[in-house]
Amino acid sequence: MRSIALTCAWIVLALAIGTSTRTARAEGDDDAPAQPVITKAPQLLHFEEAVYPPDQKAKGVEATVILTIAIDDKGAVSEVEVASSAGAAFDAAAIAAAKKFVFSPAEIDGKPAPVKITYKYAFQIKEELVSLGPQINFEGTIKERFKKTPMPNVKVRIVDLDIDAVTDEVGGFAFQDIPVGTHKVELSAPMLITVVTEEEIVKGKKKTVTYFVEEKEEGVDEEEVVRAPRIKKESVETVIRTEEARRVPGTQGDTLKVVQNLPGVGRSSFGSGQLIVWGSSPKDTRVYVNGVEIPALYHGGGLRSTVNGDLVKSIDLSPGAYGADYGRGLGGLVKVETKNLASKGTHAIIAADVIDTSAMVSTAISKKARIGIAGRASYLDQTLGAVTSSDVGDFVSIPRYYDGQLLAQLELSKDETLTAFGLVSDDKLDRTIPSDDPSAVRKEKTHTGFWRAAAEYKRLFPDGASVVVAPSVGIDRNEVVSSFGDVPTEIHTTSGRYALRGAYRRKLNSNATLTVGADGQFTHTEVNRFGSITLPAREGDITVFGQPPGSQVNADDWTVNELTVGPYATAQVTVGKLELAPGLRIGPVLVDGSRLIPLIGTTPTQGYRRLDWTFDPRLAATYHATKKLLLRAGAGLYTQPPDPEDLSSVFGNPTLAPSSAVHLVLGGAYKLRGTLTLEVTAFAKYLWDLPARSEQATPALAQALDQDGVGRSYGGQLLLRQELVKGFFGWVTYSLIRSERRDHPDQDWRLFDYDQTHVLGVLASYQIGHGWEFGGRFRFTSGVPRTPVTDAYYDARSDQYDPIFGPQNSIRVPSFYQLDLRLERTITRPRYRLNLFLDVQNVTNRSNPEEIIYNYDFSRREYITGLPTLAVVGARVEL
Amino acid sequence: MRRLALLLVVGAGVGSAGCKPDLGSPPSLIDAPRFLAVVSNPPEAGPGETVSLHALIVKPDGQYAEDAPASWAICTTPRPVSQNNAVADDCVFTAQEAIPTRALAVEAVLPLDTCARFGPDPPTSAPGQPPLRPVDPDPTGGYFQPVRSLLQDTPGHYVAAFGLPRITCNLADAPVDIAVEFRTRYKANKNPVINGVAVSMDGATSVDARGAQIKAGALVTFVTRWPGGTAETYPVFDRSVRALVDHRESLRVSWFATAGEFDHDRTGAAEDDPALSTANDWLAPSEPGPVHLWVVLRDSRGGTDVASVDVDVVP
Repeated sequence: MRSIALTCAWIVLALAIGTSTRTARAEGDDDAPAQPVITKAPQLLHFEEAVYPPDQKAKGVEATVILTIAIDDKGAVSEVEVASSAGAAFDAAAIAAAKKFVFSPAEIDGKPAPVKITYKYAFQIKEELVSLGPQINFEGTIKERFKKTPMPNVKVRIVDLDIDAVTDEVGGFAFQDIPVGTHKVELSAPMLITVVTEEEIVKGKKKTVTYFVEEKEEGVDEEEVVRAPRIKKESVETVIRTEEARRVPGTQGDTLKVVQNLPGVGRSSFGSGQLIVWGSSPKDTRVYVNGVEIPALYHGGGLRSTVNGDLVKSIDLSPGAYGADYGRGLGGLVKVETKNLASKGTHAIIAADVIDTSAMVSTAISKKARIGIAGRASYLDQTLGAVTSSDVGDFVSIPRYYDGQLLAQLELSKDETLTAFGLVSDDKLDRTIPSDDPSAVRKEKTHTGFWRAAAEYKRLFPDGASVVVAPSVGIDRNEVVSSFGDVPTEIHTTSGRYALRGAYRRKLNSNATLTVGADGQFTHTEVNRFGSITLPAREGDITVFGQPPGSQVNADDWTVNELTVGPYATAQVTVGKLELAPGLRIGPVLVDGSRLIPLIGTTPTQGYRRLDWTFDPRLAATYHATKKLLLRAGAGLYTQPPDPEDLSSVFGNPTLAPSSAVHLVLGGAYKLRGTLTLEVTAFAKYLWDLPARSEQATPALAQALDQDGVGRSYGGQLLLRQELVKGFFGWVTYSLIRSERRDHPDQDWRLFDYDQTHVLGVLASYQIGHGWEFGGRFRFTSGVPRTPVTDAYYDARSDQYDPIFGPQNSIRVPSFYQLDLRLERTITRPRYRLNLFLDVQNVTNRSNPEEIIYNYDFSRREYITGLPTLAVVGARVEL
Repeated sequence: MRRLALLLVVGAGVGSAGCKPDLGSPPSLIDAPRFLAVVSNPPEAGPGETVSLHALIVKPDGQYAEDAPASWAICTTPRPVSQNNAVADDCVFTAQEAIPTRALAVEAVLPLDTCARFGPDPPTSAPGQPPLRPVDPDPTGGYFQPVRSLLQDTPGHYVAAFGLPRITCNLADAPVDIAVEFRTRYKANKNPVINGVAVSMDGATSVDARGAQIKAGALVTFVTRWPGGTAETYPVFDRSVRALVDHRESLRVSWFATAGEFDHDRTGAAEDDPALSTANDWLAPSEPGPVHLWVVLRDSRGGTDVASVDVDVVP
């Protein structure tokens, strides 16, 4: 519904002096004294808004009344007459309002005198209320320089006037009635490099500006180097602003789930939520929140992220060839940054749906201290049964989870900030698939979770150097208690993590910037494992869905201490159009374990200690060929310490060394239009020293895992991206990837378990108008590889058939297609804002094959299909 | 400024998730020649001891395939630690020591080195090489010697089945006192015994199922009974607590019929279930005629017994 407002323009059509004076002039007399001269016009000091006649307003009638207003020598309105009528109702309303006007006295010949003016009072119905009186004459938007994302909570200060404003959620700010002239404008925020500029305000014109500013990263230069690019350590990086991410169809508003739609990311298997980046194992991709590593980006099943999206400012995905400041992983890198909390007031968000309920509250304790807390708890395990068939639970694990976040930000001084934050996440799954057959009863009880407590101190020095120190502590827990018939599997893992990141950055000269830092981490892991030696499954295991685990069982408990120091240095050197960012990360990987060989009889336990040195050079190069064309290349070595769970003398191999990989990237970006960019990237990865299960029937003692595995993945990706502009955003991604492994030297190369040749995604969202928004997402992916069953034999002891397999990973699950749509309606009112949306997944109700399943003797093969059309209706109210 | 945002989402599924596909006939329906069991007698023996193995193969007409030519071989290769299967692929095709007979029953001598190949005795490593990993036990603490039976069901196509007699070996990795105690307390497994199959019709008391007349399309309940003591108690060296822990055998009954439809393919009694019988509903076929049923009782240590029942489905 349109809002209705009155606008009035008062125009002095004629200025008349009092009646007597006018009469004298009319008679004319050459000898008469000189005609009086108006030396000062009256000015309206108080405007009274007229009451719009209700019946006329309802009919949408607009009108203009011309009034003659008599003003006495004190500026008061003495008389109002209608010079041109617009009807009785409008006339009366205009007269009533005009009688309450207050003017400054007019002066004739330098003395206050009564005058009459003609005033045009317009009654207009407008779309939006336009306030009268003070007018905005200086407004603008502040965006992050590189990501082009709006910057909320930035303080915009007009220094010479000593007034300031703070940007809103979309980075906007506005000032009223700024005097004409040139003013010094300062932009500052805890996470922002302070910028000072000048703006000229011209009379009668509104100044509208857009500022692009740079956020402080790990190491910040001072103001004078703001305009130099920050060190670009990642050769390929996709950054998504949360405003876009929240509107992506199929993500139910969870900003972090957008990562699954980015180029280079494969589709995770049904209900797993794993991140498959450039053909890397999900366990090889690292996720950091404000520089603190967390074990999982998503809760079990991939339903939600483990960090509340309302606290997230940005999500960066680097699928490979990232800088030297990060390591300990062979795959991709996901960096999540929390947003700056609002510097004023209290904000709250409450969300509830069939999946979970969440809440977030933030408040400004003082001008320099802010705190936010968020939490979420799920109940989908109970509600899913109402919308799907009962056998879904046979195939998909639906956990119960909760998470919480605490974020506190303190400005110690203008260029010194302290941030503290805590994260906690917990997933529990408890399900039993009953059977009258004791050997077919399946029980699964898992409990995974983590917590982190971290602080981040940042300081900007007067000489432009900066320092960042970020200590963190936390614990990861993973408990699995399951049984498949008589075969149990129990794993209890607790890992204490103590990390310290620090960086010092300074500009060496106008073309070079250097950062030195350390990324240290100490983990103390305790593992107690009992049961099947083939569960949990590993990448490369040859099995079929639903196959009981091998009946062999064993037990072990062990502890592992791992220390990685990770000192690094990165630099950026600019030579003309070429920017080079070399980096080097070195350091020891110290592993101290409790058990080198299994317990035999009463033999004393024998521990071990292993020290490996890593040397990981990295290089990123950017060439600004033209204003629109950017060429990029990158390469680097990457090292990953062994997983403590693999260092069992019974289930693994305590002598495992770090695994390694080399990443090569070559690509470019072409700006087709201002916000439309095409990026093409080719990549190659080669991995070695990968652990894999021994292929031997009787491997050497304490060597159930070998480390002869190698891997390679290569391909390319394309991203055509339209950033959010005029209500529209979208992107087309296509990845062509082949990922292979060879677990042992005597074996042939095989497809990686998660290999997906083609990954196509088309995504768009458009604000139609009147608050309506429509979006869609289409996905196509190649099916994942599987090993065919060519025959079977009968195991008479267990009364079941065992499969005989063909070549490993030589067939695929059929391709996946899915169309998701999202319709959204936003209604804005002065006191609240209502948002309604309909998110429909799998609109075409396609039965997408997700997994291969066989009958009891493997003579018949069918497919387990995914979920049907699923509609999620939501509402969002902002008060 | 205070802002409150409320998000309310209601989910609704359109249609039903038809995740589970139709996989055809259940294993309890005998619609082709099938191995029902490979019975070892005794079910557990030590290296060098002889066990009698009998392959039970049935046909859709309800007859045992006594005349089917079968070849036998003793597997010599343990499975890789990475596999879920019961035996190594090599044992299906190669790595065999043939037993010279083509009957469905055979006397097999367990190899003297069976506890090193398939049991807890450490395999012999090459000179100068590290010691090798012995085979891990199953949850009952048992080790098994695979013996392959190969049946040619159609020209050029063979069906393999493995009998896995349990082998009596030393207790590995345990302290000496526990190993001694184990040797004292552990009793070799015995085959369970089926104490009869009964059927209950129309809610009446169950009667001997042999020769029972069942109405076409009727839903009846078969009950397989076993005598007390069938589920034996035995000690297991629990490696997580490094002590002997007593376990009780679980019992499973596999149900087979040439027609009709069982409610479950297998039923049984779990380790903590003291039941002396297990029941299974059976929907009689709509067409009258003789129906042959088999029940195979297995204990969790590898013992087996088989019984058959013929019933008449009448109009």
